[in-house]
Amino acid sequence: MGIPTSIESDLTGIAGDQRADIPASPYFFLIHRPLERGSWDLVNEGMEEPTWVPAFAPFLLQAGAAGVRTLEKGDRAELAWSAAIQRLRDQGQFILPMDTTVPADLCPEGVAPGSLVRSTEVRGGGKRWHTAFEKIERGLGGKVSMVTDRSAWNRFRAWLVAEGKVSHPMPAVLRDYKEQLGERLVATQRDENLSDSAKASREQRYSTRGEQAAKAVIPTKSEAAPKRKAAS
Amino acid sequence: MAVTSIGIPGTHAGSEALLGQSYNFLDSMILQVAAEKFDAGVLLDFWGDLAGGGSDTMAKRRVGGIGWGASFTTMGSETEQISPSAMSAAMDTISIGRHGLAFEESFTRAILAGDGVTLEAIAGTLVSSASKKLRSLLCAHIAASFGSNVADAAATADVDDCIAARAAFEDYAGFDASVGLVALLHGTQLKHIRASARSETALKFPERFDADQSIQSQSGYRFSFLGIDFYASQDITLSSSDYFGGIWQKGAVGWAKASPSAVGDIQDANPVFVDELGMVITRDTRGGQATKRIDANLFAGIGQLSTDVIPAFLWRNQSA
Repeated sequence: MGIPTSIESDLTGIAGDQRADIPASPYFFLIHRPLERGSWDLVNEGMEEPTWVPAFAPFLLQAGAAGVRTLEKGDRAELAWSAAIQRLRDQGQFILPMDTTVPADLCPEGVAPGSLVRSTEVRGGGKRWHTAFEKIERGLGGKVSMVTDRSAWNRFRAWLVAEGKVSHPMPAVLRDYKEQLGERLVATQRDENLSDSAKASREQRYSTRGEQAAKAVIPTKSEAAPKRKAAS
Repeated sequence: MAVTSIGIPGTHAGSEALLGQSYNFLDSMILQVAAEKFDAGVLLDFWGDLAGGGSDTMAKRRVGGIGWGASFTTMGSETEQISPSAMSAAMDTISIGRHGLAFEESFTRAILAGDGVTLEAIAGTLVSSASKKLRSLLCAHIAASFGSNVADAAATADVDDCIAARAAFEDYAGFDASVGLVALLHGTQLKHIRASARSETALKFPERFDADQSIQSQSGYRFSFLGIDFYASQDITLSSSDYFGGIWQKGAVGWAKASPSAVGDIQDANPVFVDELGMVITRDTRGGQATKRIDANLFAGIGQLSTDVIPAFLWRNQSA
């Protein structure tokens, strides 16, 4: 039998190790900092209208960073992070509960409903922890990377607010967001060193987002009135 | 294998594969696969040694309402009683973790190998590995602990982000302009800033262009702009297609370790103590299984002073 003239270009998918060649990463919590600048994102993707959704940062359970400690086997896992997390709570930060699940209608296509944080075995050993909205994708040169379904991620964050799992934003945070946009727009308009094309596209970007920010809504649960107008 | 005729005359081409002469490394050195060479220690203050301290967590106290923060009240009369001022106090903490790295080989491999890839040679690289761990801890810490985002989270990084970041420090009450600022971003964020700089006419003069676009001159360092020293690492956290880089004033972030030489007598493990890093390397030889291994233990952690003391900001951008 000769060599087949057409074969699967990525033979690892047939005969090799199917685990992704991507670094492992620790489990994480998602934290939201309601008192801080940039704690709410203005999003359009996947939404019917411009919407405010909470921004989250990953709190990696990595001993030796951010107050997380090394445990002895048999210890309660919470001991590793309880002091660090309590300190965050003392500072007014919100930690999304570990048992948060993603409903079926909010999952990206092909992703089963279930826990928010999931894992994938990686080739170098260990697991890559990621949200249900991220998946591993193969790109140029066979390089693998994490890709996020932004539409689904935005809808999920809006759902968290509508369900009351995340409190509504402080008016000061939204006001600061708009002020920052306004400052960037004015600076761009006054910038005589910017090339015409760059200036035009940047002005367009900031002014469009400024208009969207002015009419963006905060998600609410009521189906009759699914979204509430944001305080200006 | 059956004996095969080489041919007349005997040629190298004819005998090369037959006699296994395809390669000769002679004295050529072993090259390491490309890896990020960036010692994050240059960005960190050293906060102390927990050996003998009784805890894996160190606390640093801070006080307010004294020194430059205390203002004299102008008294209303010659005899008016002075009201005492309040002092405020709090503390920040840093916890160390145990981090391990081990390599193992069989006696057979060690006896037969002539390639220089020995456990002893690998042991010499463990200091670099410790630096890599500090770097990844720092990046994890930034994502978890840096608060206010000064960049535009709805776009990729650009020059406007640099200006906004610089302005955030100016806005910070008590900002000490005599101490430098450092930013640690993902390499892709830096790439986006450089691309953005190309649109700025003021930044297109040859000297300025070269300063911004030139390749790094030292590990991790890329360029200075607006008084900010920019560093880049692939370890910066990527989550939900956003990069979580950071910018801070030097002194805001530090590291602590525990000197392992306080462990007591472990001479049976043939230890090498690198107390400066909180690292100890031990050997484990198993004659019954004909294997030997080296284990490196690193006892170190990253922490941050409150932004009440030194400002630090998140630098969150979209990845693409």
